[in-house]
Amino acid sequence: MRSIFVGNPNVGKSALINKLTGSKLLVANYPGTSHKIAYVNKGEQCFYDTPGIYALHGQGGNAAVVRDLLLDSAGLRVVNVVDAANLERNLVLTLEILALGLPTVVVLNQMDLAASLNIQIDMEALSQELECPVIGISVADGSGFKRLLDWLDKPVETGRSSVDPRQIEKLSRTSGSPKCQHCTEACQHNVITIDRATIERARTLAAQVIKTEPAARHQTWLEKVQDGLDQPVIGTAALLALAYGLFTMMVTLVNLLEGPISEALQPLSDILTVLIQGLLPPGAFNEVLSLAIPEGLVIPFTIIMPAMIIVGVFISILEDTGLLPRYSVALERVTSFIGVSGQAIIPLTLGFGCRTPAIMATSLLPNAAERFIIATLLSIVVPCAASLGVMAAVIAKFNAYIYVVAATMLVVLLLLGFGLSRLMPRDESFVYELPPLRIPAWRTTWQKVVSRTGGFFTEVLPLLLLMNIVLRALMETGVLESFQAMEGFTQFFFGIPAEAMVAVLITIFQRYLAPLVLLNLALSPREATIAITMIALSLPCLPVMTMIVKEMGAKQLLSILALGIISSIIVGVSLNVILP
Amino acid sequence: MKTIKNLKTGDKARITSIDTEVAGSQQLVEMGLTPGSEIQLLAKYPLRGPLLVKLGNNRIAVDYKLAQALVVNEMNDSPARDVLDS
Repeated sequence: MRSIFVGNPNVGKSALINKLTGSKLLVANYPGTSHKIAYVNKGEQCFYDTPGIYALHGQGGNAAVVRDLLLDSAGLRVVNVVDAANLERNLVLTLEILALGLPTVVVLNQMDLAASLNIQIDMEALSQELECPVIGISVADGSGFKRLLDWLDKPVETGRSSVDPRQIEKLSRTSGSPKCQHCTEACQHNVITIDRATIERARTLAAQVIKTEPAARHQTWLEKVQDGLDQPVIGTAALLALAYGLFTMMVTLVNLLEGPISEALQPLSDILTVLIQGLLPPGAFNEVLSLAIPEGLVIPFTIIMPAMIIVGVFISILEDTGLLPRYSVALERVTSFIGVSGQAIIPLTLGFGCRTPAIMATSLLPNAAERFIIATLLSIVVPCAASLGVMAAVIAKFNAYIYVVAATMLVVLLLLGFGLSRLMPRDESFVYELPPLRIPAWRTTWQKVVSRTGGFFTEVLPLLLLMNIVLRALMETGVLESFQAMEGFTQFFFGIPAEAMVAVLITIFQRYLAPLVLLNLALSPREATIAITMIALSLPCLPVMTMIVKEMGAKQLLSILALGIISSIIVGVSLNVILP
Repeated sequence: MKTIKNLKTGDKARITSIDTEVAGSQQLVEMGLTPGSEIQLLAKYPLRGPLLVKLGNNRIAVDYKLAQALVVNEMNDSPARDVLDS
């Protein structure tokens, strides 16, 4: 049996499925978290999670994805998840769904939020008017779940399991070509959109079943904070201050933790060294491995792990509180400068955690051009948590100019975005719903942090170990010194020693490993600043490249790689000219 | 013709029509900004930034260009003003 969960964005479809099945679909407090159909099996049932849509007969890719799933409707049931605090708007979609004639249940979610807003809904009257079961639930106290599970366990009544044929035609016409028989080009004449009658009906219905009007009541402190944050000047200043605070806290914490962690792991590293020295026959091989393995195992824990956890915690909190989408409104002028709509802030911020899921999150952008711009910026400019950790360590070691590094990255972000957007002129429009601020459910937020740092053991640790062995081998065998011939060239153009240039070249394999080479060199603050900035602004790591090919194609990846190399070179030369 | 751009922060208004000539205006309708609905302008971001609109218990940000599509009739606490306006 298949059940498809459909509803407006951010009403809690994925969270409900997680609660029903124990699945771990990604949830966050902003519209557009789910951007693809996902399915979860529970016994003989299959639950489809869908991206949130405002209307079935709506424009945009998400509505088309849901319509396609509904068209393949044999044995399909619909669970329409509705935000109880926003009944009127949600009912438009409900009425469109009910017109399909599929077995449907309407689930009123966030009943606790509605109650806190003094909204009381006469569910019996609503059920009678809609001629379908209406179940009020609250994820917080678990009420209503029993009734919902019972409904889901009931077999589908025969004869009511496929879409009404007239509705099929309507659904496919919304998806189909917008050109009508009179026009030669795409036009709006044949497009089916939500009709006025449905909107009117939803309005009357909502007025009919909401028992108490929201009376005057005291604002909670959270609402006061929200009102403050949604003020243009004060709110934007507060959001920027918060971002700055989180950034400084991350850098400070990473530097503070490095010493103690490295001390704690020292005995382990010593044992490993002795073990390897004793086990392997003496020689160059022994020397390289006894140095590289303990070091390659310790460094990830001292500088990468803390950064991944700290950034993971920060991003998960920003997501789950509803603060993250507020940046998209506050910074809309900035994103408009780089030619993308405000919600682009969301993938850009996620990129500070890990850029692979961030590339996936670009699907919440309205068109391919914007997705390409953001994918490029993510690949070239935005440093992921692992890179941040390594960068922070290198910057601290050489006293490099952190503000020069940060400012250069910001300038490159703006210029690159601006340039790309002028190459792809188009009309961007921005409409975005701000979710209410919420206190996160700490358990789910923590689960998210755990899943975000999972890549540490599967990717960071093994790769770093391997790369460290290769690097050590290069250093011990003197291969690295043979690059000395390049010294004149690298010093003239970039103002850095040849070995540092090798580090820059290593980014081609794995960005966050490259700075490790720097750690073993003797660099002046100026040299370290230039080298680290060139590394920070170059190529994406392998998993990101794979994701770009999957989501956008190999051609786009090649353009991004070319842009990355060019930007790295330009940045190196410019800093060499500018810096005293 | 008055659009939400002409409102002051805090003003309440009723949407009278949606200018379908403005690119992207269909999105507004889908999000519930339909003719007849009551809204309140919560904030106008500087430098032609987005406008934040309250619709029921929702907060919707609309960019400056798209805001042009939301044609409104200002609502006042005293009914006398409505008569004067019309």
